[in-house]
Parts: sequence; C-alpha cells; structure tokens
Amino acid sequence: MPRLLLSLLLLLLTLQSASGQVKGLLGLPDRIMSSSRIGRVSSREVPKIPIPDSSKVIFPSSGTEFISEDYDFFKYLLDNEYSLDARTLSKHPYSSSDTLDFLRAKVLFSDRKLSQAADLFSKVPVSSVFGPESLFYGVVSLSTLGEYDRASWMMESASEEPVFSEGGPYSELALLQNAGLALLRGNRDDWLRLSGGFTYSDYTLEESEQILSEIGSARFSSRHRMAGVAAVASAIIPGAGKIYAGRLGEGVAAFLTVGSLGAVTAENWSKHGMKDWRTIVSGALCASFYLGNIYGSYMSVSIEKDERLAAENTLVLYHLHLPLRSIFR
Amino acid sequence: MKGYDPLERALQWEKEVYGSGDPSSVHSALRSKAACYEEASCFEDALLTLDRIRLYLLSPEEQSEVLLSKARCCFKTGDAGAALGYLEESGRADDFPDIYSVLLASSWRFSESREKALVFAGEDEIRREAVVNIFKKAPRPRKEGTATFLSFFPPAGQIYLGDPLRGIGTMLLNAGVAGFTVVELVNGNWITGILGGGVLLNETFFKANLQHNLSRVEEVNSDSVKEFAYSLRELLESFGKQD
Repeated sequence: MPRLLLSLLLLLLTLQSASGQVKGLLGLPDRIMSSSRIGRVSSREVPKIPIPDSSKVIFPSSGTEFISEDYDFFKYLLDNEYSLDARTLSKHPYSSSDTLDFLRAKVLFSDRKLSQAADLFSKVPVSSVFGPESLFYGVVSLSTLGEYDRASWMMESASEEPVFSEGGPYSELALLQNAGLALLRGNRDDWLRLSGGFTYSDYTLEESEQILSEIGSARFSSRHRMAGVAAVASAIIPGAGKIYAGRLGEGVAAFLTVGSLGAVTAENWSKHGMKDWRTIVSGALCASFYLGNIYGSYMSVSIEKDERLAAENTLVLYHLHLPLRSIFR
Repeated sequence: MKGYDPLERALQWEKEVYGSGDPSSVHSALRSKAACYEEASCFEDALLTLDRIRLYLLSPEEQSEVLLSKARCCFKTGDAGAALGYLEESGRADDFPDIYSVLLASSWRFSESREKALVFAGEDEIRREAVVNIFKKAPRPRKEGTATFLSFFPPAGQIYLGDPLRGIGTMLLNAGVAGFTVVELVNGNWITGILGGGVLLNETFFKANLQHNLSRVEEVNSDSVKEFAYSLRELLESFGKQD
C-alpha cells in the first residue's frame, strides 16, 4: 500500500510537470525570451501597456471660462506630468473648443483612459494646430487598445493633408506610425513597403526606426520554431523538444526523469516480469511522462511564440509613443 | 484659500509656483500644496510635491517641518522605513515618542522603541507595565542559516518558522519516501531505490521542505514585525484615548 501511494504521488508530480505548471523537477530556470535580441531588448526596456479603463469621466459640457487663458499652465502641468493637477484643471467649465478637446484628451491619455482619449483626439480636426499631435496620439491610443483597423483608418483619412505627405514636417513620423501598424497587424507586404522608406536620419525617430526594423526582420523571417518539430524531437529523445523551444532546464529535467522512470521499469521487468504490478505502475508512469513531455514540448513552442509576439507588440507600441514625447514636447 | 475642494486649492498653489520666480514663494506654495494633498488623502502626490522643495534653501526650522511632513506622508502610505528616516533626519523625533516608537519597532530596533514607548507612557505605572509586557512578546528575527540547518531535521525548520502542522506533514511524507527508498535498496532494487527515491526526495525533501522554508523566512519576519508594530501602535493609541 505505501508503495502504491508513493507511485500515485510520483504520477501526480509527473502530470504536473507535463502540463507545464512546474518548471522541471530539477527546478532549473526558464530560458524563454533570452535567445533573441528582441527578447533581451524587451526585458531591458520593460514598457508597460496602458490598461484601458472604461469608467466614465464627466467633463462639464460647456462653460464661461476660456481655455486659451490657461493653455500655457495646462501644458506646463502635462509636460511635467502633474497628472492630478491636470485632471483637476480639465474639469473646469471651459467653453468648448478644439484646444479644450485636445488638452482633455491628453489628460485622459496620461490617466490611461485610452478609449475616451481616442474619442476626444479624433474630434480635433487634422487641420487645426493640434491636429497632427491629436492624430498620432489617437493612433497610439487605438493601437494600444488593439483597434488596429480604426487606427489605420485614422491615418489613411489624414494622409492627404500636406503636413503628412512626402516632404511635409510629419511625413516620416506618419511613415513610422503606418509601418508600426503594419507590424501589429502582421501585414508583411505593407511592412516591407513602408519600412523601406525609413531614412534613419532624424534623431527623434532613428532609434524607433531601428527597433521596429529589428522586430520586423525577426517577425517576417522564415526561421521560426515549429511546434511539430518540437513534438517529434521529444518523441525521439525525451526533452529535446523543450531544448529546441529554448527551455534548456526543462529539457534536461524531462530527459533525466523519463530516463529514470524507464530504468526503474526495466529493473522491475527483469526482476519481476512484465505482468507484475510494479512493472505496470512504473511503466505507466514512464509512458505518461513520455507522452506528457511530447505534448508539453509542442505547447512550449506555441507559448513561446505567443509570449514573444506579446513582448514585440509591447515594444512596437512603446516605439510608436516614444517619438511623440520628444517631437511634441 | 480655505473652503474650496482641497484638490482645487492644490491646483491654485501650483499656479502660484508656475507664476512665481522667487524661490521662497515657490517653496511656501509647494508646502501649502502638499498640505492640500494631505487633506485630500493623496499622500503619494503630497510626497512628490515635497520632493520638489530644495531643502538647502530653507531655514533649519523649515527643513525640519518639511521632513516631518514627508515622514507623515510615508507613514500614511505604509513605508515605515522611509518614515523613520525622515523623522530622524528632522531632528524632532523625540517630540513624537509614540510614532517614533512604532517606527523603531517596525525596523527591529526594539530596545530604542521600548525606551520611547516608556517615555510616552509617562509615570503611570499601569501604562509602563503594559509597555514592558508587550515588549516581552516582541518577535525575534528568523535567520536563513538557522532555518536551513533546522530544515534538515523536519519538522524543526517548520516549527522554527511557526508552522508546526506543515512540519508534521512534511516529516511524515519524507519518512514515507525514505522508507520506500530503504526498502527498495534492501530488496536489491538498486535502480528503483536510487533513481525513484532520488526523484521523490527531490520533491519532498528539497523542494517542499528546504526550498519552501528558505523562501518563507523573509515573509515570516516581515509579518511578525508588522504585527508587533501594529499591536504596539494600538496600545500607544489607547494611552492617547485615556488622556
């Protein structure tokens, strides 16, 4: 009976490891995201994706004060990131204007109320003084929310404006934003066409253009790990699929555990015969761990792919936002 | 600027800062603004505002006031270490023996904490006795080395960390695994004994016992000192209520 209980415990641990909840019986570290340059960049930068907040912010509909009188002060609050003051000022009863919409949208953006910020940014006409800034911030807000179609539509509808067309003051920034959107949407043709226009000569855009180029090259290259290959590798040599997926520690642990269980089964077989319950229990454990490892290897590649994609997208969003801070400051 | 919403008043003070070029007016406005934020319970924003004040431009009395405000904000946000630092830097810690005592206790400085608590208790014998009694229950910091050593003898490590039930469970589990390993080895099943037993012991002895205990030391220390500081605070507050 004690043997049976211990065998069940071992089975439980085996299944836990196979489902990926335990990093491996040896507790070796997970090496995911450390194999690519992008992975290293993303872990260094650690940009945060703003969390959308759907709670309503109620601004007074219209009032008697004029925003023009407080514009410089408002801008000072926003530039210095005095968010609480900017929020308080944004609730004053100003008479409606594009300037007011723009400033309130910036407050909402800094408070990460992105959906409402995007709505207000889109109300500012592109032809107004705050039009270009509103457009780019609106696109970043929508992209962060995952509304890539709406963001692309915003960029497209403004493309005819002289400031965004070739030779205009914001032409390269518009190119960067469009290329970033193409990356986020996974549109290879658009990405290649747009990124080909990067000049890497404007100091405010150079870094972002380079990072986006690196991400684009990695994303659209054919050298991606395949889940099927990982599964086959683990079927041939237990743990090899995990190593292929970039999880060396888990791979070694899987190899040792399957190997140990196999050896235990072999010993029981030779001493007690094939039909002995000890051979059956240890064999069942070995088989379940072997199969679990094949499945785990297959899943590791998918999980690694999802995690890499999420990290890359975070980095793309960060580099769509980063130039705006220096250009419009 | 009284009677308005404190956040609105804070905004007006910021406007003063924005419009003023005189450092003394700026500092005075920033202090007033921080006070408004404190009133609105926005302690982190108050602290950020106080951080903008250049202390070296202030008189020693003003510096002390600013540092006290910072200590208060840190205390309210739960950062006892920073609060203690600011309070001691202000040079006026002895004016607030109750708060000083609680903050010292949060930093494991029990003998100094006890001394300040006794000062706060005054000459009243009952209060002094209550202070002496509470410090008899002061926790001792658990050491990683001791926890590691004791973990080799389950359930000693768990008992040391105040979790005897888990300790008994771990002891029984490890006894079972060790028994299984020995039986297999005695029966001549070397591979099952060494490899099977090794895999199981890695889980039950190394991970569930040793690693787990080590990871708990910091948490146990933090919880015990917080709990003690909280009960000390309650006691000292009860003295204030009696007055």
